Amino acid sequence: MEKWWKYFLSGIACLLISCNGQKSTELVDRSKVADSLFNLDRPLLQGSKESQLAFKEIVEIDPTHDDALREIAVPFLKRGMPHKWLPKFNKAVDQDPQTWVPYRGHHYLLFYRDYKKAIADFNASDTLTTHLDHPQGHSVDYWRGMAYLGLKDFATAIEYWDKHIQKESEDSGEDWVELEAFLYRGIAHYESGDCKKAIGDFKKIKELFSHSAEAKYYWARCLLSLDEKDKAKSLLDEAVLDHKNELRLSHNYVELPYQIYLSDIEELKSLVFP
Amino acid sequence: MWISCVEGYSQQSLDDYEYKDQVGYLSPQNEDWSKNFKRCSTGLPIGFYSSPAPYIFNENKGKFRKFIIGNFNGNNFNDNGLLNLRFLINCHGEIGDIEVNELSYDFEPIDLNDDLVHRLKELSFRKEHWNYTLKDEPADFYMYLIYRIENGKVVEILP
Repeated sequence: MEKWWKYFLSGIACLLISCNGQKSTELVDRSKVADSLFNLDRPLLQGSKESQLAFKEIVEIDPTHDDALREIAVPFLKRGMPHKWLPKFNKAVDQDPQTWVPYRGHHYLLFYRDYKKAIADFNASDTLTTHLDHPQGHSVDYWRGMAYLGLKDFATAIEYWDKHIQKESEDSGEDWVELEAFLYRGIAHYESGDCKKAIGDFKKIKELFSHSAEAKYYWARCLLSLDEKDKAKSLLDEAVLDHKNELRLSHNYVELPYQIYLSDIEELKSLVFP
Repeated sequence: MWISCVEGYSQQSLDDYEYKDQVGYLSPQNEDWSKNFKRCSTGLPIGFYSSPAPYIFNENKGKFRKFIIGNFNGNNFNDNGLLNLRFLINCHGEIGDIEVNELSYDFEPIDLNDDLVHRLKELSFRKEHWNYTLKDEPADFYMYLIYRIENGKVVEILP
């Protein structure tokens, strides 16, 4: 496999070698070759020596290839090496800030819980592009909501989720809005002491999605604060089932903000209903 | 070699990248927490891709966090930064091949208080935290932790 790779590169190299000073043609050619290598379907394990070398080869052909630069950085992010991840990721940012600044914001937020740096990147994306960016599948307004929730600035968090939910509803319909947008807005209401609005969001989740361990858990906490114990107990029982059925917050690489564990529900139940 | 004739190209320094091993590789020359730490397998450790969290936590990460927060007294410290621990857990629940990075919020190297670092290592590396019997066959687990510290207090535990 490795030999094949070398021969392939050498073949392309032969096609490219023409030290005749036609720089612009060479740049275009290098970009095309780098793209074709990047898009090859290679079964290389992310972060393996072979995979890292393959991306390095692409960057050597085209030092501006932001996708390859980003790929070099990704395993350092996933494997918990922030000091090695950032300088590498910033090389991709330097080449294409429009794409990678909002992604960096997402990584600051979820992998490092650096809410201020995340917000700075999401805000920068507003001027870098004319459209609303969606790093990792959610709008920057959604992510800003989460970042302000982390800063305990609940009012601003709610403003961003209002904006996000309104836009998603207008563009695609309310049933296209992510469960998590309602959930986190509800949690922000709950944290700011407005259980009426929080319950409105948790009810919406039940109406649109039926199941969510976190929605029922925080809903129950609201009801307990309103001394509605019977309803709260019923919701906690449902939350246990949802959690056991894995209908709950989860992420492949990190724990999510306000994610709960089965023991959290059980502890609350045993505290209130000994 | 061939590309060196292309105008404007500058050779990327190999020092910029780590190509000798798998990203995240931990050397057996690193510090061990457990005496006579030895790996249980020769293959890649479980979780090398992104850590075996959440399953590696004994019961769950919520319990781990409560233990750390409840037992770490940050009042003695005023440090700000990140404590990054990467380590292996073997099939006996022993900890070894540890790499420690003390970082600023910008991920630059800093020097955190030695007592703070030692205390968080001591609390983190206890056998009872780790579900090291996750696999039927003898296996090692790659794990990392990042403590976000503000004014001496642990405010976040990642991942």
